[in-house]
Amino acid sequence: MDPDESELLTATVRDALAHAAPHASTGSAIDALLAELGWSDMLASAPSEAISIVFSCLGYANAASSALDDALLDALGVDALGVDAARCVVLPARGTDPPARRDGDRLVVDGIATVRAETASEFVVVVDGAAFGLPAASVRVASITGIDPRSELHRVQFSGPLPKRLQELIVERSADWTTVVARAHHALAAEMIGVNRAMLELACEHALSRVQFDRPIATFQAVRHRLAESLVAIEALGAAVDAATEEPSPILAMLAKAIGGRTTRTVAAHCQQVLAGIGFTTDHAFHRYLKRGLVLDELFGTADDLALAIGRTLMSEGSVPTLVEL
Amino acid sequence: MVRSATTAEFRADLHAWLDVHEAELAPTYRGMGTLDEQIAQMQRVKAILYEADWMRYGWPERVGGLGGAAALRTELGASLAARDLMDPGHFSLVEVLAPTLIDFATPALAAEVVPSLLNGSEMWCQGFSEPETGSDLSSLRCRAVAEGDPSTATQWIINGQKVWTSLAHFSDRCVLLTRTGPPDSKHLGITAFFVDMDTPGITVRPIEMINGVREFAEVFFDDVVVSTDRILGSVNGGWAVAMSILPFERSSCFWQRIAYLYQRLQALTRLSEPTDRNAEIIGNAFLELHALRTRSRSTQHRLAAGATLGAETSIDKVLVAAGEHAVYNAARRLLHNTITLDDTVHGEQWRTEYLYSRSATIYGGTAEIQRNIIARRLLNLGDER
Ligand SMILES: Cc1cc2nc3c(=O)[nH]c(=O)nc-3n(C[C@H](O)[C@H](O)[C@H](O)COP(=O)(O)OP(=O)(O)OC[C@H]3O[C@@H](n4cnc5c(N)ncnc54)[C@H](O)[C@@H]3O)c2cc1C
Repeated sequence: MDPDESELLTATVRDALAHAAPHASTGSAIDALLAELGWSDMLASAPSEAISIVFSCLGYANAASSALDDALLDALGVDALGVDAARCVVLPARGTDPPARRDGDRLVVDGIATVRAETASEFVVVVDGAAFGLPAASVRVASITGIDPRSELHRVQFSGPLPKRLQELIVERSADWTTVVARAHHALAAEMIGVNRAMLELACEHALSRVQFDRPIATFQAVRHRLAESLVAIEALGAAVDAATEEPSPILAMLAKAIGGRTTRTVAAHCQQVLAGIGFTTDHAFHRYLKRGLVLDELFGTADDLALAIGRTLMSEGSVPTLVEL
Repeated sequence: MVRSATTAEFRADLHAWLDVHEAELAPTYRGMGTLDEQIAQMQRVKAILYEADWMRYGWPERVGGLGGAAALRTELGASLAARDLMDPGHFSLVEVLAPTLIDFATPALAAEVVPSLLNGSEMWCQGFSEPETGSDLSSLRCRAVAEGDPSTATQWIINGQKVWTSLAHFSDRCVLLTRTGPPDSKHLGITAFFVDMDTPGITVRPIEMINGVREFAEVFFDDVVVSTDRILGSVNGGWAVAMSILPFERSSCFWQRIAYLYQRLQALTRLSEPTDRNAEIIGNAFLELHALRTRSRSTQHRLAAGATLGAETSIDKVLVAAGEHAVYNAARRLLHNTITLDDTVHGEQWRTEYLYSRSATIYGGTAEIQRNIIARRLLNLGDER
């Protein structure tokens, strides 16, 4: 995709999501909208760019969706459509370890899933290099309220005999969990760009319109510097996500996700302070982004988890690679 | 003719050449050496590289270069920094000052002096700051007066003082900002000169920095006579000269600095016990460097594609300072007693660099000035109160 094409696509997706009045829209409505926009074709033809664009727009619109399932199934080489409904991927309940393990000839699953959990025909898990499909009827699904009910996540549990391997039915290749994690990191990092940009926009609008001591609070340097600091963090995240988009690799994606988590903390803290009282209410949109940011940081490893993992790797290899070149 | 077609090929060729010539290029001192040794090393390396043409790629042919994209010289500087062959801070003065001469000096002057800067026979310094002029550069007072009518004068007389001028006492020339308009003319009354440091009336007094190194200096100008053909740009057009430095400082110089920071974090990683606490510190510093490096890379890609760099490079500047602080804060936390109590060359190097790293939020526009620019120009928050 050239820069013009990708800008155009970004504008199209952003505007479509904005028109869908996302603050009142559900995950399944957003899914329908994405389908209309040709999300699965985009994903098939240019996965990395499609993910970068669509997820940052989703973040910006504070939209829940099951786009992550499509992105991860594509990484696995598993068709998103099951027998009579879409497949849903089981995500780790914490960190990056697979949410499923074998116990003899049994399978034990404890993870989370997107809004697709409500309608899926089958839940997909990856264990020991193989993808398995669990019929929806055999899986315990409970919706999660948590800090951000609008993210429409679900707790997914299963314990039973090992089901049939999926890729024998669909593709001849091993299911690589590392690829799934890298995809998820990339998508979530992109989503965090949108979340952070939205928070900063809200805070800047407020800074310019809110008057105290007879002038807009945007004239106070303490306020300006917090907002400037937020932009620095967001632009750095944008660059890290671009690098991961250009060259899909587990380490670049993980770095982007870790930087995303840190950025979200920085931006949320500064913007919340600038928004002060009004931002402390559920009348104002800020709280939705703050909460979504907290959830996104948690999924597939927080900034702290990932920084530790990366640090361990650097120490064991005794090398600090530059990773990207001019 | 550039011997390699792409930047990646150039980098590969360069590294192959540097591998072969490693022994010849390596410093002869242990640890970081004294400032005199460092400068001698840098000039020696520049001479070898100029002789072998590497120092000439990316510079225009009219100043002794071999042409090609500016990214080639960025690669060279970064490779030298990554191999610890010279101090990237000292080397960066080439990148900051040569383009100024190329863009603003008379063609004859540029052709005469730029090769000497590139080939290691000369050093130059940048005389901007004054005792009462730091962040607010437009308030500078060092005065230049035309002998006779300014439009026909052949000579100018300079009086005043500069301060914190890096490497002034090693320098043969100085890019100097002076006041030529009325005292309150701000950025509209500034003229840039290219001054020979051995001109009568110039006194240089080195200043010891916080890390014990005498790297910068006070420079006094007492009836210093400079000829009109040494004016860079136009009379009262010095602000444009000063601002033109920004794109180079914020692209090429940063990339070299970043290469050095990766190298230092790697050294630190090898020196530290692999505990979880240490891994977390290293991991977090690496995140800062990666954010910085990817941002700087996209800035340079924009520059290479023909974009004019402006206020958005304040973001790069803030990130460079953050990266620098992250690496040396990590050093302080990981290398127990090294920075504070270790008198070996190893301790001395980490101590000196740690203390120097604090300047990242001061020189080249302070951290606060960058945030002011970001707020006004990038976030459109209007003027401060
Ligand atoms: C290692 C090093 C090398 C240097 N090399 C050179 C050189 O080669 N040539 C040269 O000309 N100069 C050089 N300098 C000087 C450097 O450019 C100045 O130190 C810098 O511009 C800041 O000026 P100042 O120190 O006078 O600080 P001031 O401008 O006095 O600022 C003091 C403090 O006030 C803050 N402040 C000032 N104005 C504002 C504002 N509007 N809003 C918010 N906060 C504000 C600053 O951020 C800072 O924290 C060097 C400095 C260092 C440390």
